[in-house]
Amino acid sequence: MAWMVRGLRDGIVTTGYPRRPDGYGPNFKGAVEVLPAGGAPGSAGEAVTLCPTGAITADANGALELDRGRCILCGRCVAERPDSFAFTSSIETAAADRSALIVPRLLEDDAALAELRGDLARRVRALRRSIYIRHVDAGSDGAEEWEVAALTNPVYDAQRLGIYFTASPRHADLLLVTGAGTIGMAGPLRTTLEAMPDPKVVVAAGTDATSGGLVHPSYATGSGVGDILPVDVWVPGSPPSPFSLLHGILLGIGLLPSRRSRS
Amino acid sequence: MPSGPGREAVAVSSGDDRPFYGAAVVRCPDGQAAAARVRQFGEHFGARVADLYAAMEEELVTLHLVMALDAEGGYVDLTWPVSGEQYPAISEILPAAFVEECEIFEQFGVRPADNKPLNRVAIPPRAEAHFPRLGPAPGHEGRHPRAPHYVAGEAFEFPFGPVRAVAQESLYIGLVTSGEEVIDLYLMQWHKHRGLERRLQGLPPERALFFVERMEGLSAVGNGWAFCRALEGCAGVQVPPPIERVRGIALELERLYNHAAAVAALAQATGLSVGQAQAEIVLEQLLRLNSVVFGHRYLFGVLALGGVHRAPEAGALRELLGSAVDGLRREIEALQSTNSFMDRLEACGIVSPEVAQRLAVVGPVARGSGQNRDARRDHPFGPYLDERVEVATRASGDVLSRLEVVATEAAESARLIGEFCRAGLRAQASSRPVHLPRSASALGWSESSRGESLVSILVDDNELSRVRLRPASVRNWRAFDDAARSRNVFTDVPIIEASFWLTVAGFAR
Repeated sequence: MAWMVRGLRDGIVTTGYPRRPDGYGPNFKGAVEVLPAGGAPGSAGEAVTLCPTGAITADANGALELDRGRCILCGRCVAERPDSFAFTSSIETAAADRSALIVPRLLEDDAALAELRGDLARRVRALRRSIYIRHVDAGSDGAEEWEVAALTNPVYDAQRLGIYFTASPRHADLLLVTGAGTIGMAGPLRTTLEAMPDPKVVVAAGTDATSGGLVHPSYATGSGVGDILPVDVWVPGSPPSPFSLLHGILLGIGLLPSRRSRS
Repeated sequence: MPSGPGREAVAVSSGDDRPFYGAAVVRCPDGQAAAARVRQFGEHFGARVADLYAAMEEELVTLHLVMALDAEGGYVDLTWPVSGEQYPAISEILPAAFVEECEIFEQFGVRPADNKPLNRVAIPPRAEAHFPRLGPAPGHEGRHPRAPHYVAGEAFEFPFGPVRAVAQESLYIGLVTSGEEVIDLYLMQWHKHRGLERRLQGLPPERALFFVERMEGLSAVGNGWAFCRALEGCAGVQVPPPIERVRGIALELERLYNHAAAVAALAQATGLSVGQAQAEIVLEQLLRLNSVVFGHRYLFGVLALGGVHRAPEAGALRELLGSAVDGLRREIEALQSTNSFMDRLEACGIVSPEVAQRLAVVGPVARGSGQNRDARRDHPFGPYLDERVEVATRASGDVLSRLEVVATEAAESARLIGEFCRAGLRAQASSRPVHLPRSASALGWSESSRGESLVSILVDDNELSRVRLRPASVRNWRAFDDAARSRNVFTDVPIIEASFWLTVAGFAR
C-alpha cells in the first residue's frame, strides 16, 4: 500500500521522447561540432594535437574534421579552441553509417546514406512493432551498462515503445554491444550473434564500441566491435546518454524519420 | 616511517635512491628479507595488504607490496627485486595478496614459490609467449586456466557467463552446486581485460588522467583523484583548499549516485519491481544533478592535474541536492519496512569479520563486517583534513548490514557536501601544470564509493614508467566467493552481487 502511494505521488516522470523533444536534452553535451570558418590560419596542426583519441584531423588546406566515433567528449578542444569547436546539445547522435559520424559532413554523402538506411529499413521491416534486445558487454568501463539499464527505468521507459530486453539470444532481434571489443569477448560475441534469428540488427553503443575510443590500441582489445561483427548503427558517446541509445535503437529498426542532426 | 595522521603526502626521506611520496619506501635486498619485514609489519603495526604489484627496474622484476598502517595513518611500500622465476609467497603470510600474485605471474612471469595453482586474472588463455605484457612472459602456461575448485559427489559445476543478464558487465561465474545450494563459486574476469596499465606507460600525465577516469566509469572521481594526488605529490604541486573542496563535492556526489544505484540493484535482485523503479528515479535524479552541476552524468572530466577542469554550479547543487537525498532516504526507509525485502537480506551473503580481516577488503563491504576503516578518516587528504568523516560500521557482515552502511554513508555524504559548500569553493576552473621530476615513486589514494582506491606511479627519465591502478573492486571481488558460499542458494547470488556493488571494469582494467 505504501508503495502505491509513493508511486502515485511522483506522478508521471516518463519522457515524451521521441514524440516530443525532452527538456533535459539541452543540458546534455551530446556531441562536438566543428564551427564553420573558425580558427586562425595555420593553427589546424595545433588543434589536431589537442585530442587524446586522435578524433580531430586537418586536411592540406587546414580545414578541420572531427570524428564523433572517436570523440570521448572530454571537451578539451572546446575549452582550448572555442573559435573552432563547440558542444551541441543534440541527443540524436547515432548514425547508420560509420562515415556519417565525421563532421562537418559533405553534401554528396547524404545520397549514399539514404540508400544505406533504405537497405536497413527493408531488412528490418518485420521488427517495427516490437523488438527484443540482447545486450553484451565487450570491455566497457561500466558506466555504459548503467546507461543501458536506464532505458528500462520509469524515466526513459523503453517498453512504452515496444522495446524489451531479453536474456536469451534466441528471442533477440537486436544486439546492443558496449565496449571496445576485447580479445576475451570476441568469441562470446560471435556466438551470441549466431544464436540470434534473422533478421537481426547490431548496434555499437558508445565511442569504445564504435572505434575503440581511448582504449585502442591495446594488446587486449580491437578498434571497436566493427572488427568482430557487422555493425548497422553506431552510437557515439562516452558513455552515450540513454536518449542517444534510444535514438540508435529506433534508427536500427527503422522507426525514425529520415532526419539527422546537421552540424 | 610513514607520515603521521593529518599530514598531506610529503617526501619522508630521499637518500641515494629515487625520492618517494605518499608511501614510505622500505627496500629489501631479496624475497627472504622482504618476507621477514612483512611479518614484522603485520605483528607490530597490524599492517593491511593494500596492494602488491610488479615493475621492471633495471632489467629485473621488482615487487612492491603496499601496506596500509591504518592506526598510524600511513602507507609503506616494501620493495625487493626478484632474481630467477620464483619469490617467497607473500600470500602465505598475508592471504589477501593472492590475486595480485596471480596477476604478476601472467604479466611478469614470476610466481610465488609455494607451487600453489594460480587463477587466471588478465591475459586470455593460450596467449603465446610474444603476446604483449608488462614484463617477460611466463616460461610456461599457468597450470590452471580456471580457478581451482572442488567438484565431487553430488556436486556439479554450473557455468554462468561471461554474457549475463541485461545491462550487466561480462563476468564468468562458475557455480558449484548440488542443485540449489551454492557449494562453491569462482569468478573469471579476464574476458574484458583491456590492458590499460600497459597503455599508460610513457603517456603524458594529462592524457593518462583520461584513462584513469574511464578505467572504472562508476568511480571516475575516486580513482582519478588518487592518480592526481600521486602526480601532484611527486611534482610538488599544492592544491588550494577551495579547489580540494570542489573535488570533495564531486567525490561525495559520486558516492551518492553509486549508493542509489546499489539500492536499485538490491531491489531488482529481490524482485521488488516497484522499489526498483522508485530507486531508479532517484538515481536518474542524481545523475542529472551531476550533469547540471559538473557537466557530466558520471563526473568525467571534473578533475584536472593540480586542480579541477569544471567549477560546480553551486546554485543548482543547493537547489537539487536536498530533494534527491531525501528521495533516497525515503526509498531506503520504505524498503526497510517491507518484510519481503528484509527477509531476503538478513543472514544472506555473510562475510565474517575474520574473513574481511584476512582478505583485507575495503569500503562498505569491510565496514558491513565490522572493519572500521575509511581512507577519508584514517589517511585524510584534501578537504577531509579539516572535516572529519563519521564512519558507519555494522558487525553482522550480511547483505542487510551492507545496506545499512550504505544508507548511513549517503546521509554523511550529503552532510559533507553541505560543509564543503559552507567552507567556500573556487568558482572557476583552475589547474596547474604538473612537471614530472627526473625520477620518483609516489602513491596516491582516495576513498571511492566502493572503498579505498590506490594509484602507484614510478617516474624515470621524466616519464611515467609504471602506473599501477588498484581500484577497490580489485580487493573486494576477492571476498565474493566467501560471501556466496555462506549457506546461500542460487537466487541469493544476484543479491550478494548487488550488495557488494563492484564493477568488473575496475578489476579487468
